[in-house]
Amino acid sequence: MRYFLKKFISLIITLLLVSFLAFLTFQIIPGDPVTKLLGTEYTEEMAAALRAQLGLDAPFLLRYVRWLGGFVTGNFGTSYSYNVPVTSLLADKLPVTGLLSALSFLLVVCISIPLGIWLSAHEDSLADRFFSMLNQIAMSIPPFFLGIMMTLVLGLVLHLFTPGNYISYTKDFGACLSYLLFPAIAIAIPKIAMTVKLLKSSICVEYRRDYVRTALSRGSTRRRVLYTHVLRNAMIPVVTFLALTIPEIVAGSIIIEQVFTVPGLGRLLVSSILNRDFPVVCAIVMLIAALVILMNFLADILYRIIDPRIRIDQEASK
Amino acid sequence: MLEIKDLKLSFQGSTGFEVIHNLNLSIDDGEIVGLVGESGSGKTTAALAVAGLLDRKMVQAEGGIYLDERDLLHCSDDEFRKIRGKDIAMVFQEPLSSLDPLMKIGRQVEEALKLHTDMDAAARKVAALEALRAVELPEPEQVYEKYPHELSGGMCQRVMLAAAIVTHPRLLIADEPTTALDVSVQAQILALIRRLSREQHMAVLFISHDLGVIRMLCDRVAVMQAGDIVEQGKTWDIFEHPAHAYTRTLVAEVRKRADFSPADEKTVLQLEHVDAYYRQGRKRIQALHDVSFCIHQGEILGLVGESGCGKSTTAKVVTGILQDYTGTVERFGARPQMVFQDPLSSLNPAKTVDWLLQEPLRIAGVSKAERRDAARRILSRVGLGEEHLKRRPAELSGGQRQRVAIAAALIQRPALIVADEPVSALDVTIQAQILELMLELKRELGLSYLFISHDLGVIYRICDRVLVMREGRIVEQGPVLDIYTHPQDPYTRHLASLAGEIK
Repeated sequence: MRYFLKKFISLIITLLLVSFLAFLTFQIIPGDPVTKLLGTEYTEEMAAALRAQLGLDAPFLLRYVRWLGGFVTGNFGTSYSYNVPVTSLLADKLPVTGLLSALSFLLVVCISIPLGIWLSAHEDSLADRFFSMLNQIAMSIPPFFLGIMMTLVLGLVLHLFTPGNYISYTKDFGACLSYLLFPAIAIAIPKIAMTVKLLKSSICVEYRRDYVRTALSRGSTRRRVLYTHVLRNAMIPVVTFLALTIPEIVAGSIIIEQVFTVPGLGRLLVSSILNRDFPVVCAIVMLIAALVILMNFLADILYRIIDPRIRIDQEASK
Repeated sequence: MLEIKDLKLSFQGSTGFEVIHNLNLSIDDGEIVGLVGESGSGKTTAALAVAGLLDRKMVQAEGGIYLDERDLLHCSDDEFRKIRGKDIAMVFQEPLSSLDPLMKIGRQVEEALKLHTDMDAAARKVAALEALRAVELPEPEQVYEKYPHELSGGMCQRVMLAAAIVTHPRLLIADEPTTALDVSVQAQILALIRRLSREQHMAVLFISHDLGVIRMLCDRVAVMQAGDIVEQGKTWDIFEHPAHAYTRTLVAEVRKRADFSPADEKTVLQLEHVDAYYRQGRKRIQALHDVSFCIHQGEILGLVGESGCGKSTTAKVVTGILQDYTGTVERFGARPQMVFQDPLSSLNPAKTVDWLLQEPLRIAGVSKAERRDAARRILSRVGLGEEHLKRRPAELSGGQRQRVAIAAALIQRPALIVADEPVSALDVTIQAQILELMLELKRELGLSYLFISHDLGVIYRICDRVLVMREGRIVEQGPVLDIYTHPQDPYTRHLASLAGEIK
């Protein structure tokens, strides 16, 4: 229990720091939301009035405290450029990015684990060497470039999908999924490459452990040893890695949404930054920060569930 | 029952070589046969061949291994799998790492039953509990639900034995099963193996480098050297009348007692009424209770006791690493230096021997030319040459590494060296060479040692006086012969009775 409390407090402190930094960044970077909103034709009086209306005439710290107060009570503020509450904007976009990230993560898990197991069983075979090479390449390609290539080859040449023709999940869920599949693949490929490499080497290391020899001496087949002993042990680092890739996938989808013109958080974030729409940007930054910290926490918990050594040491030290 | 005939094993591949030349050995039902030899002599390879755990692609085998009439060397993998774990079971040296860390003890003990019988889950559990009871584990029901890391090394080895005997195998192969254990636990495990063998009429092939252990347990013994059995026969005969030259040196090594020069009266270390503490989290735990002793110049003081008794804490107080103590510690001369058990992990692997030896002098601000000179001198002192200067620890043998560790300690000219299990990780002959070096340094430089070991044979051979520790207290101290012949404390008596077997 104390452990959870400690984690929770550190979560709050980190979020506070992140929020302050995000707020500060907008103070420092050039550009003024008021002039952005008013366009090219405005008088000084109009600008001053709007500034007062948005509360931007107050000193920096006061504005931060006001915003923070609203944030804590669930009022994320109103978007300057759309003039709607930030919460409703987010509620609109969040499911899209969530769906994309989830799909991408599912791809990573479902492809890399079987592939890693298969490759570990064929160490040093021709297939292994081929995949190792492919892995090196896949790991080093940034997802946005993959996205561009996929749009070009799969979309424009092979006509597997129509780039830019995103269908909302509220209209046709299946069509939405099949469109999101392509950006999901673009995000997943480098992650799959990393996970396969990690799992394969982890399995190979575990195979050399003494308990494998013990299991073989009891008459197990290598296959049985893999599924009853080796895999669970080998998964420990992989699970931690996977949990930590989730925020990376979300961050990746923000960029990839631009390439595939998916109307998710990423597109909203970029346009809000351009319009100097602080409330929206800050809310999204906080959301991602919270996700990173929560996933770290989840990795920690999963680690404890898989590995009894950690579970009990923790209890013993209390 | 088991018969090994003209067995020849060779590793394949570019660096292929023959490991076993011509091995003949037979074991009858219920008999305990010891296979003794140094690491690299081929004893483990032979055992793995009997259990069929060698990769057939990597190792070429000739001759025959027969279990009753079945030829194990030439049967298919599937056939062998039916024998392995059912008729032939194995236990290994490192009990903790030989168990799957993520699986409960119960499931691991049942594994062989699951593979070789069609018992249901309930019947398997009954059998597993019975096996856990047979290896004298207290509260088998609770052990059944535990994970390996919750048990001690000795308990883990009992679990390994339980998992091995659960199918009532006809042959148990035990590869150095007690080497990683404390001396008293060692004796218990040996007694247990003997009892199980008698009760279940199970043959045992017992592999060890430790003649003392072999002598306590085995009916017959075979001595291996460089891939050949050089001598075999009844254990008693081999010990009393060793015929082969190699056997004679092995037996002599165990019995030998080094010559001592009488110790000087000058004191190099004096501890009086020392209580020492260490921190665990926020708790302050007392590790030493009222410890008093002294070491004279040119004296080797042995420190024995089981792990956790305060041996290492004493070493830390003596060298000044642990500051949290009350009482007085007086050191005369340069600061005592330490030599550790595992030089491979205590020497920085990224640095050359030259660099490692110069490091303490570099800290002291000695000039470069002098440092280089000192490193060369000290290296020849410990029996190594200039060609070793540019090597890194991984490029040296275990014995050479320990020589470097001793040289690094000596370079600061201490009056006292604290050696924490300095030869425990080494082979018998290398062990003898390192001990000889330590004795030579003592004679020539008047060096003193605090020699920490759990190996009573080694203590007996080199020490002048012995301290026996238990639970942070010195329970007995005196000249080494007195402790061995007239032990006073019950704990010391227990140790000495074990040592008696070794002597």
